[in-house]
Amino acid sequence: MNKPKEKPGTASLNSLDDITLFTDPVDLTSYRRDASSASPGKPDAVVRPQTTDAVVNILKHANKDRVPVYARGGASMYAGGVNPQAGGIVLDMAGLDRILDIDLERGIVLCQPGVRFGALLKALRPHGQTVGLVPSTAPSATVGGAVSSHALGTGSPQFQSMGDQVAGLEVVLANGDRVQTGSAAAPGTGHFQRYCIGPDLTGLFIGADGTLGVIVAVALWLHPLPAARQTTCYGFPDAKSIEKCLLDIQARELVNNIWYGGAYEAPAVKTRISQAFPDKPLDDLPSFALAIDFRGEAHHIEEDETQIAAIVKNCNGEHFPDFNEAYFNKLRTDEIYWYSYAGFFALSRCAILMSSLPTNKLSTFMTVIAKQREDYPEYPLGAAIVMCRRGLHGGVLSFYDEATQWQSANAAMKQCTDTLVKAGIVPYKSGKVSAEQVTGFSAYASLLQRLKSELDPNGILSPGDLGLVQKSPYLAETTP
Amino acid sequence: MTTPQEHPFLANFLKDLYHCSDCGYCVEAIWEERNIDHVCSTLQSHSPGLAYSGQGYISTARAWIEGEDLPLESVAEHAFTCASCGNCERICPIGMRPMAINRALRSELIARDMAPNSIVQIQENVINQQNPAGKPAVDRYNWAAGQEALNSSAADPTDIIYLPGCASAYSRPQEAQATLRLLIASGQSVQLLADNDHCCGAPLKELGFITDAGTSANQLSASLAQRHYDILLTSGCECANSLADSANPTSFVTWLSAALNDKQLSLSSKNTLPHVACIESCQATISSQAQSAGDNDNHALHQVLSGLGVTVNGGEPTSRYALCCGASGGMPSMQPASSEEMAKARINDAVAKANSADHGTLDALVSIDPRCVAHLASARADSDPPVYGLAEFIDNFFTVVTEDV
Repeated sequence: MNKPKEKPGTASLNSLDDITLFTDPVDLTSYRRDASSASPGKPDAVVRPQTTDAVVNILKHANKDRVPVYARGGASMYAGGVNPQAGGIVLDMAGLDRILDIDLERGIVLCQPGVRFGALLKALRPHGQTVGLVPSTAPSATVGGAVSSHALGTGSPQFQSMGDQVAGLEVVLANGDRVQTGSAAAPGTGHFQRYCIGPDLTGLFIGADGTLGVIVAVALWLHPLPAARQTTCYGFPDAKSIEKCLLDIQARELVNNIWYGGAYEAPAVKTRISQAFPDKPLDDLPSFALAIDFRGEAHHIEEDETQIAAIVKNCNGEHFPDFNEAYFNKLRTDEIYWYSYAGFFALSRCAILMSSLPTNKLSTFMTVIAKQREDYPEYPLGAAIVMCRRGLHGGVLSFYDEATQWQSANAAMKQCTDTLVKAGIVPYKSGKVSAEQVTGFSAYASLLQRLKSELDPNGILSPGDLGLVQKSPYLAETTP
Repeated sequence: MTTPQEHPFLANFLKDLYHCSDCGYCVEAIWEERNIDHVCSTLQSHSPGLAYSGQGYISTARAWIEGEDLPLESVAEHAFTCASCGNCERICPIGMRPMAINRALRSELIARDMAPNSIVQIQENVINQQNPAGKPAVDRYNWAAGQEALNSSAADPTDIIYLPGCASAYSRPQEAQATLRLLIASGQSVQLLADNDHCCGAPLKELGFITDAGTSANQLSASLAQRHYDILLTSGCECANSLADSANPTSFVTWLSAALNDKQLSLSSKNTLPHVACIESCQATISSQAQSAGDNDNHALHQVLSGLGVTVNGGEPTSRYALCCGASGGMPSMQPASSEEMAKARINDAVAKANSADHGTLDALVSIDPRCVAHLASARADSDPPVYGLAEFIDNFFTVVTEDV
């Protein structure tokens, strides 16, 4: 193998226009990882482009010299996708932070990838508009990062997933080619329809962690701001009961006015109640709580709530107003972006696995969690279950001391992931955390690899993510 | 991993260094419900590099204690540039303390003689001249020449001891003079520490010179211990923070608010009152221990001005966060150009907000912190509105009403 040039490509970046380049070791320390427990990396350079043309030029340079490129947004994700484990360039996209167009007639907002959700929501509010999915770290999370890593968020009961909110993208491929997807693929038409012309190429880049291209513009569907809002909590005696309840709600499509639906197991319920009501007995608390945040027209909320209350009763559940008061009312004034944000559960960094599960596997999911608790009592484990329009997201949160337990906690979480996959529960976000599991889905992994080879033949984009094979000579030299 | 012997200052923060969840709120957060447009003025006006953010200081500190061979000159350049506004700490959802960690980084660097020259100069200035700018110590009370309060006997009891703070005393004497006039007009007896006054140590503490800061604070405490007073009143927000534990100081705006409410002081406007914008002080938000937006001196400033019938653009401050104007921390000495940019950004923001409002008028900028006032005044363009400290503003636009006997 030819020995690569010393730090190939990073020196020549100096000549590019409209970028800020960081190569000082102190500057580089801050770009090593995201919020996940995945291994950090060490970039050779951080480049912050100010224009899309600069992104094109950076990728052309990197592709020529076969330098790895990891696009990074707010880096508040739990999958390690931005961790530059192969070194190379971290492409800090946060400087591309302009909202390009708010088109109320088409119902679309077009923005650069570095726009923070907080800025987006603020800009849309005067128009009476919002977006469907809002990540739990909305004030800092970027739109490009959320799409690229397929972020979870509040809004999933109504709108299913981040990807479903994307009307189209503009992407720069590894060779510097710019591509628009959806209706915007036709010159001069812009974004107004995702599924047209041919196959859905937009979907190629959603959740791809930057492995197939770098997102430089995102078109999101707009939705009117809800007129009314109300949170209601219910208690259930066991996992099967809440599972049946969620199945019924989803089957009857009583989700159109639900912005957030979250299930909380006994430890979380006990913690919240004991904090809010120190004198209340904890023995007869429900084993599960379901919190539903309704948003919509007041009369629709009232109708849906009445029907859901009947379903709850039929599933052995009952109103649980104490949980509402103890937890959700406190969050009301600051919005509820972080319902699912792990940090608020335990005031600590933690390893998080996000999975997708069919709703009828909720009790199976809880059984796996219980077993994991039994096998690894040294890592306090939390479970977060978020309702989608169909199916659920299941989060496993393992709290550990990062100074001493990082490796062993990750090993424990790997076992948990394997067990979940065997049980028919799949990783929602792959990045590096679930890369190994992706390689196990052989036909899917093979197709993904072929797409990767075609779109990024030198393998420079986010090497190590999604279990894709690393083949860059530069990587061979720099990867331990 | 480090030991307390190797990194005695950072060793106190191991929990923070290993619990940060990398949510990125201390880098940037835009949060309408909390009235937060940005978190870090250094990232906004100096460099977008994350190493200047709260998250960056945590990453750097952690890399250092884990034995990475970081260039300490660069660590110092980053660590001492921080404006120490504290926004990164207030916004952290899990209670981490990036600003305190950066202060510990500074202390570690100081212990290795790695503080930049401009920072060491501040240390020497405080030690030798009792003020961070290095102005002659004997000139500290030039602004009070001829004032009776200057010659008070330490043995005499007094209602108020007035500590102007270094910024008022040297850089914004008109604020100190106006403050003293208003205190006296309220009928209170006022003393000044005169030759026994000096820096409270706050700038040294902020920069990581912990021992020297303690020495300065103790000297000032010793001077105060000689006096018999009811209220220790200070103009500087940073001084108030520094003295909070030992001397329970009252800020000028708090005193003024009470004096107006209690009718100790009555004011009437001289002419048509200007439309103003309040430039909030980040140091005033640091002093607030409570969680609401309405519990700090920036909020009190708005209340006082509104109560006096002044139109304040932007309305009541609803945020616990204020972006630094560039006057704070190591920013002015480490990065003077960026420091000036930060001041201009605050002024431009106020002007832009006024222009976007219905009335579109902005006649003056007002701040409670003399350090901000001096810095903003030096950075403003001729076309920008003038900048006033609160006492100056009152002095310029109001007269004290004395009751007929």
